[in-house]
Parts: sequence; C-alpha cells; structure tokens
Amino acid sequence: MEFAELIKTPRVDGVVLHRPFLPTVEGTLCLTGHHLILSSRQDNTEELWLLHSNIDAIEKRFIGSLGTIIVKCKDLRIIQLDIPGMEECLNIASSIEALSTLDSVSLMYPFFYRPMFEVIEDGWHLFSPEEAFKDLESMTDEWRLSEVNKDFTVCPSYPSLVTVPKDIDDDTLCKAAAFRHGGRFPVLSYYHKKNGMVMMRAGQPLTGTNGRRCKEDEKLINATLRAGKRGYIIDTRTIAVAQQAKARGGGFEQEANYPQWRRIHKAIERSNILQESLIKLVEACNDQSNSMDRWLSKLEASNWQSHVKEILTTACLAAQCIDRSGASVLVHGTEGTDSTLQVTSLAQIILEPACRTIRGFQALVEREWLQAGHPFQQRCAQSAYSNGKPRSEAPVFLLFLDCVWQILRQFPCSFQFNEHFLITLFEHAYASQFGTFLGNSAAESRVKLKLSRKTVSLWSWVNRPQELERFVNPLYEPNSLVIWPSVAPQSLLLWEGVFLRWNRSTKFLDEAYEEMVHIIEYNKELQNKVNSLRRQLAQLETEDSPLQTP
Amino acid sequence: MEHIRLPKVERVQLLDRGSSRRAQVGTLYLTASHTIFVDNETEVLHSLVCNVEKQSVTAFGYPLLIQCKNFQVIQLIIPQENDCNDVLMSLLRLSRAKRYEELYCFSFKPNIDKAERDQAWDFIDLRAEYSRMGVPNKLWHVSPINREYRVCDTYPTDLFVPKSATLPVIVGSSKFRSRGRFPTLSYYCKETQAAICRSSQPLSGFSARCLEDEQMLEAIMKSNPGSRFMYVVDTRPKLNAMANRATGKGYESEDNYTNIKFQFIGIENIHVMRNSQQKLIEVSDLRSPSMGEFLLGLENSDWLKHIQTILTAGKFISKAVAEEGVSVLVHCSDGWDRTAQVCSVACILLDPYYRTLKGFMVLIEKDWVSFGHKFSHRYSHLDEDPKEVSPVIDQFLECVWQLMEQFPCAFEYNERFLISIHNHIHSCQYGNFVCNSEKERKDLGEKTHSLWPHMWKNKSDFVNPLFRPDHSQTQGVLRPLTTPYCFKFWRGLYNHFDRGLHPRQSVLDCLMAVKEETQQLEELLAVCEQVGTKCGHACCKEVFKGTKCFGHLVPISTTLNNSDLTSFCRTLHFTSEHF
Repeated sequence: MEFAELIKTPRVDGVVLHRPFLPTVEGTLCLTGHHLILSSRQDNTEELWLLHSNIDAIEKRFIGSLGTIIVKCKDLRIIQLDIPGMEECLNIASSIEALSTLDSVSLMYPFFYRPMFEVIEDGWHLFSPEEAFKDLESMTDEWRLSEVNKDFTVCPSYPSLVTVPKDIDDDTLCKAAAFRHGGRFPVLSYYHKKNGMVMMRAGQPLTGTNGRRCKEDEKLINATLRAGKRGYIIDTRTIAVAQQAKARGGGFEQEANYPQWRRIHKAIERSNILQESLIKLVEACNDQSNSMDRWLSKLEASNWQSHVKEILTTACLAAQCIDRSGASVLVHGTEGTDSTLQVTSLAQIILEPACRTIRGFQALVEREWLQAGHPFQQRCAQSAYSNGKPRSEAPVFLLFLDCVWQILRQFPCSFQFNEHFLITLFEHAYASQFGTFLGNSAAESRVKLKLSRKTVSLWSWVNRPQELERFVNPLYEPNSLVIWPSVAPQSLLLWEGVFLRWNRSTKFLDEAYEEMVHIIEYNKELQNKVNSLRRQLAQLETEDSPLQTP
Repeated sequence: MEHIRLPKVERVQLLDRGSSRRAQVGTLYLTASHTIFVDNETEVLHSLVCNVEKQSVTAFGYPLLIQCKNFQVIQLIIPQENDCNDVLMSLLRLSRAKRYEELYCFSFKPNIDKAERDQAWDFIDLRAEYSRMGVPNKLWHVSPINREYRVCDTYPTDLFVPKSATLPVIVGSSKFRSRGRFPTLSYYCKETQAAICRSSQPLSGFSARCLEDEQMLEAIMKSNPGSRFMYVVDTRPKLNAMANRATGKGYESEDNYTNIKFQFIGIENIHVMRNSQQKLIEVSDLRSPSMGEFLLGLENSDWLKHIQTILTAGKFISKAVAEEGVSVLVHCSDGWDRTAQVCSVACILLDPYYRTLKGFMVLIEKDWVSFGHKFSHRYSHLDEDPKEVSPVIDQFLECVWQLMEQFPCAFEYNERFLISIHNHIHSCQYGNFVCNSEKERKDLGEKTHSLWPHMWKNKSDFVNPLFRPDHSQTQGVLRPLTTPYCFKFWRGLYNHFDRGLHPRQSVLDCLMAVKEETQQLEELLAVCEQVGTKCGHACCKEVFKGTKCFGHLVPISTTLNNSDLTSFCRTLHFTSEHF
C-alpha cells in the first residue's frame, strides 16, 4: 500500500495551530506518510512535527466554511487546527484518521526512520538474556539457561532463552508449560543476592473446574525452595476472580497440591478496567470548569490512584516475602503479561539498587516487559482519548511508570534517573521513531519483524551522552538498601508531570529543578577546585619528604 | 503543681501511630508544663493538648489517647487503673488553663537577661514596616485617634488613615462599624499608590447610612490619585451578609457609597471552618484507609475548597492593587478573621518582602497580632467557649504552603517554618500570640519572651535552599493558579508526626547540606587565595607538615598571620579527609 493513497490532501495553506502554552501559529499544513507538519515558513518559529501514531483521536467542527480539527494525542496533549475550506478540512481529517490507525506494523514509522545521529552503542544488543545469566552465575549455580523455547513453540510470549532451576529438564518445562496459561511456565524473574531467595513469574495454572494438577509444575516450583522452607504464591487477582477463571479453564494452585506454598490474593484490576480508569482520570484533569468538589469526586471516581496503591502494595508484599520473610515467591495473575509484570518489576525496584540506575532500569524494562512478553502493541494502541469499543488497550505500563514515580518521589536521592526519563518512556511506549516498543513479544518483534535490523533502538538514542544528561537525577547517591515506599493515600500523589502536563505551565517547577541542578553543580565545581589545590599541596609535600625520611 | 495528682508512672507503654514498631515501655512524668516519656524523645506541652480520652481496657492495661493541637496523637497504656485515672484528671486540668498566668510562656525562662528580652520584643518594628511600604507620605499619615485604645480596643494604637480623613470623619465612621473597627490601612503599594484597607462590617441594617463612613471611603479612594473607584470586598458569603442586616449590620450599598465596586467572596464563617478542619483531621487520622475513603473524606471535608476560596480572594485583591492600581477595602463581620486571612494572602502575593523570613514575621505581627486577631479564643489557649475556636490562621499558613508548591523558588522560608509557627501559635511557649488584642497584651513583654528572635537565631533550619534573592521567581507579584487540581492535602502539617507517610529522603535536607558544604568550600577557597597571594606555596608547605585536623574554618581576614595559616592548613587537611 502506498501512503499517497491515504493522503487525500497533502497540503493546506492558512492553517492556524493552537496548542498548550505556545502562541498560535498560522502556516502551511503538510501531511506525509508518518507526520503531520505545520510550517509557518518563518525563521525561528516553532513548527509542529507530530507523528500520526501519536494521534489518539480527532474531532471535527465546522463554523461556516471554517473547519476545525481537534487532535488528541496519546501523550495527552490536545491541539487544534483551524482549516479554511470545508473540503480540505474533511480530507485532512480522514487522512489523519487513516494514517494514525494503520493496522500493519511494518508500515510504522520506526521502519522508515533513519537516525540523525551516529549509533555508538547499539541498544538492541545491550541486554541479552545471556548477559543477565552471567550475572546470576556469579552469585549462584542453582539455575540454568534453557533453550526449550528457542523456536517460540513452547511459549510464544517468552523469549528464546529463559532461566529455570538447574535440576529441571526441558521435558518437565514443556509439561509445566502445557499446564500454564499461554504456556507461561514458571521462570526466574529475580534473584535476591542478600539471602538467595527468588521471585518467579508465570501464567495462571490451568486447573479448570475439575481441579487438574500437573506434577511437573509442582516439581518445577518446589525445586526453587530450600529444604523445609515455604514459599508464597502471589495471585494478583482476588479469590473471586480467580475462582471464576476456573470456568474458563484457568484457576489457581490448590493448597493440597502445593503444600509448601502459601497463596495470597491481591486485587489488581484487569486491563479494560484500567483503560476506563485512565480515560476518566484524563477527562477529570482536562475539565477546566471543575469545582473543587467535582474535581475531587472525579479524581476519586477514576480510581486511578487506587490502582497505583494496589499495585504498589502487591509489589511491596512480594518484596517483603523475599527480603523480610526470607521466602521465595511466585507471581501470576491470569495471562502473566500484565499485572504480574507490574509486580515483579516494581519489587525489583524496591529490592535491587541496580534497577534504580539508568542502565539498570533499561535492563529491567527489557527483561521484565519487552522480553517477558508484555503486549505493548496491543496495550498502547490507544491512550486516554480512545472512544471506540475498547479492544485490548490498557495503561499497564503507564501505571508501572506511575508507581516508579511514586517511589522516586519518596526516595528522591536513590534513583539515577529523573521524572523526565519516566515521561520519555511513557511517550515512546505509545508513539516513537524507535522500534523498541513495537510488537507484542520477543518472538514477534525480534524474529518476525526483525526489529533489531530494521529499526533503531530507543536505548541507542537514550544512552548518548548528550541525551543522557537530561535524564540524570542530580540528587542521586547510590543507595544499596532496600527501599520501602509508603502506600498510604497521603503518600501517593497525582503524577502531574504526565496528567497535568498540558493543563498548566510548569515554568516555576522547571525553574526550581534548574536551581537545584545549579546548586549541586556549583558545589561540585568548588570541590574540584579544592581537590586540585589539595593535590598541589600533596605534591609539594612529597617534594619535601626526602629531606625528612631517613 | 497542685494539679499534678501523680508525677510519675512506671512501665507505661507508648504506641506510635506513625510506625509499625512495637510499643515502647518507659516512665511517664508529669511536670508543671510537660508530659514527658522516658526513654524516648516524646515530650508534650500541656498547652498543646486538645483532648485526653480514656479508652476501653486492654490486656496490657488502661489506654489513654492524647490528641494535640499540632495533630500529634499519642497513645499511652498505663498498667494500673488508678494511675490511669490520675494521669487523665491531671492532664485534663493541666491542658485547660483557667487564667493566662497558667500558660507556659509565664514560666518559660530561657537563659537571657532582661535587656536582651526587651530588645527581643523590638525585633519586629511595625513603624519601620509601614515606612518600608512608603507611609507616612503626603496622602497617608498616622492618626493619634486610637491612643490608649480610645476609639477601638481591638485595634493597635498606631493606625494609618488618609490625611484627608478628619477626626470627626474617623470617629463617625468608627461608630458606624462593628466594634468600632473603622477602615484603616493594611498595605500600601508604592508603585501604584493603591492601598489595601481593612475594617469590620458597616452597621447599615436595611437602610441606615452614615455620612462620615461614606466620606471615609471617599477619602481612601481619593488617596489613590490614579483611580476613579475602589473595591469594597466583603469576604463573607452573600447570604450571611444579608442575614446580618436583620441585626442592624450588613454591607455597603453601591447606591450610598459613591464610586465603589462591591464584591462578595464567600468565605465561610469560623464554625463552618472548625467543622471542616475536624473532618479533615478525621481523614488524616484514618487507620490505613483505602484511596477511595481518603479522597472521599477529603472531598467531604470541604477543606481544600475553603483554601481555594481564600487564595482566590487574595488573588483578586493583589490583582486590583498591582495591576489595576485600584484600592480595596476588605471586611467580613468583625474584620479579624477572614479579613486578616485575605489581607495577608494578598500581601504575600504582592510583595516579595513578605516571602522572606523576616518579612513573614512582620506580616503576622501586622495583619494578625496587631489588628486583634483573637489568638487566645481561636486556638483555645484558655478553657473557654469552644464555639470561639477556629483554624483561621491554619488556613492562612496553608495558603502560603500551597503557594510554595506552585512557586518553589519564591519563598526564603520553607515548610518547616510554617509548621513551626503553627506549633508556637498553639503552644504558648512565647508571649507573642497570647491574649486577643494588642491592648490585652500590653504588659506581656515584661513577663514573657518573644518568639521571633528565637526563630531568627535558628533560621538555618527554616531557609529554602532554592531561594535566591535575584531569582526571577522571587521578584514582583505572584500570580498563582487557583484551579482545583492545584490544591493538595498538606501532609506535612496534618500527618506531621506520622513519619512513615513522608518521603524517606528529603530534597530539602539534601540541598541544605549541599549548600552548607558549598559555603565552607567557598570560605576555604577564599583563604587559599589569600594564602597564595601572601606567601605562595613555600609557606603552605612549611605549615602543612604533620598537622592534624580538628580546626574550624578560620575567618577570612585581610592580613593573615602564622596561626591563620596553620588553621588554614588544618582546614584543608580536614576537608581532604572528609570529601
């Protein structure tokens, strides 16, 4: 298919652009295969370059022959284009609509994007399961890297290499896979160096209504327990939801079959409820006519903050089992690709200092989200302005980032990255020139789409020194401790950097951030001066010393 | 001391609501001024206690719940019932002073002499403040009319009024206003010549007029040569103001007063505010609430709505004064609660000076202490009518906190400063806030101490590291947003003692430490430079040998002698070990 077929009108003059915090611009609107561009054709004027894939929804309005298109973006920004001429307006609108909802992944911008920078360190090769396994090997010899899934047949949503207990052979893995939703047999998610406890994740067991069991599955997870020790199974669903799952062939681990495990149910909501929550929250934030009562009751009714609290609470629980109770943990929900990953990745942020560095966080996103098979393509197909019938979109990853932000707020000195880094990941998960978040699983993205050859990795760009600078938290001091966040409602805040970003100017907050950077940089500068003076003195002293030492 | 039935109880358990840690066991002491729990830093002033309650017996003993005005909640478990009753009875009496003399400020004796104490009371000089604003000038002067509080016993003696307002006009106007609180200057804006004046409501009833009062407003309007009208802002809800007409009070009619624009703001009365804060405290005290319970509770308390209304009122006035150059008369009923809130919020927005440490102290003295805000009634310093109690100044402090959240670089002081002032207003350790008017407070200076120099001495605790006098955010008028999402629950105040709820690392502390280190480095480098110019490396080399580090930084002097050099090298050595 040619993009030209979709572009009914490639160019309109005299279009007026309205957008948050910037003066209106009049200029020429151009549509290309991947961008909506507004050019004022004057030097030094801001121009609009908007990826079609960033467009979540559009609305059209007409007053006489003047048409207006309201463009609602996945990053939550809303812009308005006034287009003279009804026909042009309709053409532009339908073109945008078609271009922003392309079904074929291979037509997406990352396949066409050529970087304007030299790729020094290719992000596609930074985080391989082999590398991660090397780290693990240096700590323990109880695990092995299995190739059972090398052609993605055992579990289509798992990567080709997974870490499993050493004593469990591939045959056992295959049988356990047949007993778990989506073939997602229990695999290692995290090894806690401090006490050797582990966190595993999986899909739900397929017990069904007649309580099917699988000896291999039991053997697999029991192999992770120390003699005489009990482990915890954290089911991210309520017991009622887990019960209902039985009717559809799913279910949960029966005590009788897993006597060494204690099962705990939590209440993380499923994707369609989360999507609805996001829509309500953003609607509340965008409603400028709110009274205080209406604002608070809409904020409450959106339930967004409740989801944040529940996810964080569950992650804390998992971390507590591992660190405080010295027990191993298995986490799953239904598919094991959403709430499960929220919990396992957040627990690692809490437990593992390395995950709080920029590199470590990238590795975490790679391991626990991209390679672990979170269906980014489906989940991020639409954002808060989706109004059609929801398919499988849901802000699962955004909620994870929100939770990380909450912990960052509570431990502002323990993260190497700043809020801006998290917001950037949010934007790129929904629309990007990079291929990192394309596809729904390792199998699809790595093999079918050949992303690593055909697209640029987000990490290749992020890790360039000049970009990295913007993401570094000036307050960072490595903190080797476990960091326990508070999950009390008083401690959890609305993530204004995302949800109020386009509603109110952040000028004064940005100034405060700059001031903070300035204070710290000035301090470092003086330290360097003193250090060099000290070196000079020391040097003079050693020149003296032959006289003193016999 | 006669109220202490039992000075000491052993084996008492203290439960900390804020942490999940186990109860601590220790000894409880009751002194004339404090409840002290050893071994633990817990120490509570009796004057801060607002409620003591015996709870139903548990396996460990008899629980006693102590709620404080600074939102601290302490639970004690006392082994014996008799002891528990004695502690309860003692605390009930000790925390409810009958006379001012029982308050802690009269027995608080810091180690300073009389001269220093007297000087401390002059630390804030309101005359100087008015002259900073630019009055007296050719249009405004100090009127002697309220000497010895002859016209209005809740006003200060020194009052600024338009020069054109004659004595009979002022007296006439005063007779037409509740409690004689006639319109007088609160803030003067040099740049625009517009003024914020304050008063109580007029005794207009349904139709009464007072020529002098009308002339008084006319005089205020004309003291701002650039404008042809003035605003009269009634901070009450219209309904309340109308109801007041039935009792012979009310509000100004635009028909009678020439060239005024009249405006209602709709800030609720002290009773509504008291109930609202009570609900807010209940919400903040909930034990592990769900997000829904918390947000619903916050909404139902209406607290943030009230804060929003007050800030919006302040914004309206600051805009009138700074942008339109129009003078404003602010009043409510008596003009000592809502009027104080709105005038002081407007001042904070208008004048960067009030966003400095000293300026904020001045502002509280000016708009609250001197103008007869009834501190002792509102914050129940004595065991008096509970219907007089209301969190009026809490709301002002919270408005300032909300502004700090929007303008993080604009304030020289930090959140701790506000919380500390809140604490002192309730604790009565210092004499500043005791009694209900300047007149009542007249002799306190001899018997009590002033808070402000004490805070000034500790100002390093209260400074905002992001503040820089030359920063653009520091300058000029603040124009805050007042959309609902800009208002947040003030965790720092309402859950101050629940340590588990706060960020575990504080950006504030971190930046303060960095700045302190920076200052030391600057001093050090300044000394280095001088040493360098004076004697070069040879000299440093000489003294550096074998010195050990303990020294503090040497003051920078223009001529350095040998001992300076020694300590310089010590310092350098000291830093080399620590950085």
